[in-house]
Amino acid sequence: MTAPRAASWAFHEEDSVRIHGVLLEFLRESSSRTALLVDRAGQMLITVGEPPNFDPTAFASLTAADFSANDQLARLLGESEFGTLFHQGERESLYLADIARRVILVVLFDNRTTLGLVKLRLRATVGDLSSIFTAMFARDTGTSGHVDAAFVGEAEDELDKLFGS
Amino acid sequence: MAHWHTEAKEITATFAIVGPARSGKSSVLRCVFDRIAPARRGVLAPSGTGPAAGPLLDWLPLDLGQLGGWHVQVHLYAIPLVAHADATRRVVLTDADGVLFVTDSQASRLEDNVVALRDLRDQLAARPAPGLAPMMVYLHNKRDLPAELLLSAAALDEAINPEGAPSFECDALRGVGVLEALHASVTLVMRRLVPRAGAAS
Repeated sequence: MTAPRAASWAFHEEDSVRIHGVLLEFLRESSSRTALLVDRAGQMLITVGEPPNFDPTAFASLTAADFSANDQLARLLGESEFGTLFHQGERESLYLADIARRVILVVLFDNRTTLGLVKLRLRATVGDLSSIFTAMFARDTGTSGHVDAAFVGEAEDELDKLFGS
Repeated sequence: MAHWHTEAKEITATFAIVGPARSGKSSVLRCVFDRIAPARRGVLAPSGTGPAAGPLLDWLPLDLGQLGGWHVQVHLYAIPLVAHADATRRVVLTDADGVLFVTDSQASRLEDNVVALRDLRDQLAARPAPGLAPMMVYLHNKRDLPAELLLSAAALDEAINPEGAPSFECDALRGVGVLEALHASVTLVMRRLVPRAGAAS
């Protein structure tokens, strides 16, 4: 998979609507509880389905660190990456999948479904989300913006105030 | 790299404070915390450095307020240079807009500075977008120590900063030079964001 070259990227409203639609369809088809998107820097992007009963900030950071650590394991084995990770608990399980090398899809499910069904339905979902994010990165990388003089002027004034110079 | 939330008109930029062990990374973050008005900064979330000490980084959010119609936040992370923080360091460096490299100015620590910088460059080369390197600023720390123990700032720059990135002589324990360095780093990153601020609005 080619790594996206986006330096920074932006969610537009239509992106959010499309992603929500894809994830809601996945939850319905797989009978999973919750789907979350976390970026590789550990920021929570989107939560769909049952609201999770844990601290989302800590969860997102740990998810990103988990994927990063597993990237190292993959390299030790001569793999470029592990595209998916699975953590099985007694009642709750997690399935994590890489999306376009920048985002992690986390699926929470319990014994109302099976790992097989989650994996089966996830394959198409990962493809759909990868297309959406890849297009998003390409769009933002290719955008040639205009310099906003107000932003740079205000930023430097505000920084002078903040840092007391 | 900076995150843009166009609906909320928010930008979040990430800064990593890195350097060799015991060079003063956490002291730099503590110094920022102590000297920025409480209304403009969040709570310092300190870590331990043992394997069971919780998240392996110190984290401090700063609120730059409304700039050109965007609400801009800065997140500062200081990550200990221990093996079990390696995954955490990679996560933060993956998205860092700016790096504050804290050197230990003692002549006896030059090799440690060089090794830490080499590790940093390796990790930056593994980023998904390695072509767009974070803006570097160097803090030559511990300038309060006796002069006979120290390398000059010029010698340190020659050894580890040949590209001529901004560098500052610091005493993080007493707050000398730290805010100046952070000011320079954030300014560099904000200037680089400018074309995108116009594009995404």
